[in-house]
Amino acid sequence: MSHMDTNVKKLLCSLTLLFLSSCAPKITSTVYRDPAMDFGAIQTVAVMPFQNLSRESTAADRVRDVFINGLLSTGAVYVVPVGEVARGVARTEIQTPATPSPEEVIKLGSNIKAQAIIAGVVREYGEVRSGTSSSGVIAISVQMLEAETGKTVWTASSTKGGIDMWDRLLGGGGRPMNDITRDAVDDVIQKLFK
Amino acid sequence: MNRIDRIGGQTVVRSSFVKCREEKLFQATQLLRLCGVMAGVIVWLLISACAREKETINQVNPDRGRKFLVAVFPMENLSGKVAPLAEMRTLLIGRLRSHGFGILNDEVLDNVVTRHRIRYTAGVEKEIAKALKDETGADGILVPSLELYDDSSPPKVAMFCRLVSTGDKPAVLWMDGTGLAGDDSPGLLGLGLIEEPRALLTRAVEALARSLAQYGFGEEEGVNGGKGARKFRPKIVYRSEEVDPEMKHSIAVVPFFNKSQRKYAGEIIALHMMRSLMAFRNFEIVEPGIVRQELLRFRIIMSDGVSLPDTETILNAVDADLVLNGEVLDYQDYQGPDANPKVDFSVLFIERKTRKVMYSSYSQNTGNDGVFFFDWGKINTAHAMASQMAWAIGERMLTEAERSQANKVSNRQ
Repeated sequence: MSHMDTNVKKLLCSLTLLFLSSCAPKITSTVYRDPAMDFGAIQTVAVMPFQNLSRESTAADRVRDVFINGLLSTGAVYVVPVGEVARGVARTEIQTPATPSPEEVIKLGSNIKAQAIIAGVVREYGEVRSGTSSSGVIAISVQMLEAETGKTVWTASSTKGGIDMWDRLLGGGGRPMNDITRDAVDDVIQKLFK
Repeated sequence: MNRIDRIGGQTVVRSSFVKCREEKLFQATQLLRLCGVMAGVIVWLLISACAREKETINQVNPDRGRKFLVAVFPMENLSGKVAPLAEMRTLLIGRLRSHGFGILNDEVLDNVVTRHRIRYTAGVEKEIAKALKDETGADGILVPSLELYDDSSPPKVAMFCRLVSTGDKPAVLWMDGTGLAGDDSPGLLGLGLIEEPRALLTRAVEALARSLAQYGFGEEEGVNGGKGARKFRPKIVYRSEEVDPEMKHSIAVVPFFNKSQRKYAGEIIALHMMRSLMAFRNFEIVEPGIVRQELLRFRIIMSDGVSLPDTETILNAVDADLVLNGEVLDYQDYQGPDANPKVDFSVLFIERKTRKVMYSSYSQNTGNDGVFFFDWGKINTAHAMASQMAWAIGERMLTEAERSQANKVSNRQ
């Protein structure tokens, strides 16, 4: 009888473990780092205008602004002023600054004396609704291109915000969009320095 | 027994009546005292609720011996709406006269402006400053700018004024601004509410005129910072190690890029920054009219910000150390009593010597930030909020610089 009890207990334990493991999130990497790249050598970067795939017309400008300030505030790299980047883009005649080709990256890098060019995409920016709950959400992807070769040496993405359990249970409008933007940008920048 | 009782009762009744009367008199006196104290407290509360906070301003030192002659330029309308500008200007002139300033006759001013073909009066260019000094003897030029005029209930008014010296080298001597809403200080039972736009306008104009008069006779020196509210500090900050807190920096403010939906938000934030930075002894602001003149002279067109060659050209032309630029992403004032203004902008200071970014920050706030109970601490106008945010930037620049300087010294020791 006791032997049977032990078997039942073992079965229950294994079932519980199985259920718990199935509830765990699937871990996928959102970062790519070129293993051959020496990131310590990069001291000056230029941030290109971000591509905006969201409905908010100023989303790309907002995220780029927060990203530039966030990157500068780390003190690890110097970011070329946006006006200087705009001048470089005009001089090198880049047609789509948000998605430069490797050749354009090389030309621009030598023009504005930057060792790397950062381009980004704002995939989602704004409010999402589910039933009576609403919240801000942001999804961004950023990539760094080496100015010498035009190669992509680092990419990272981040999604922040959205409706969580508390929002569903208690209602409320979630966190302000600016706070979520800062969180997402901090997340991406941390992935660069990891 | 009954009689005695009655007599006794009467006696007793009489004595208790007297006692009762005395008690009532005493109680009434106490009540009256209490009422007096309460009335005093209520009056004090109402008066203190109606009182306005003093705004930050700077110094100007006109001669005390004679009247300081001021040429008042037409009011610049940055509100994006129709507003009674002429009336506001007349009101301002009246208040300045009452505070002892001499005002240059409008006809004389018009003649000088026409003779020298001056079309731009939102700033002071070199020619007009020299002409006014030589031809009229004016000591200063007052440039008023209207930021907001909303006559719906509760009314809102926000404006700036700056005094620029005349002569060969026009310089900003004094600058101040005020932003008021009718429901800023409602007081008990809403007795402090202002529903008449003209009353609010008069209050705003008087505040500016008083500010100029108070500091206009050299009574106080400029301060070097002060403690601003923590919630208005910039959210992300970069500051170069090169910032010297002891050195005096002259700053050329170029117009901010306006990416918000509010018309003239770039010019408004530039004015906020000028006003706040002027309050610090370490900063000196180049008159924006002169910066504009140089931008036009060198045909500098900025597509997305100021580039390094442009920075060099501007700074060499106006002989300044830093150029201040940035962009405004949000600058919103709302109508009505449930107004929750939003301000969102970033600033960038580029240095002349190193051609590098010396300071950069991102600021964002809403009117009800840090407000938890009964609208306590709520800000009703974007002007009031932006001025504190701009102040926090200057404060952050200098205090951080002082701290890092102190660290450097201690490291050397």
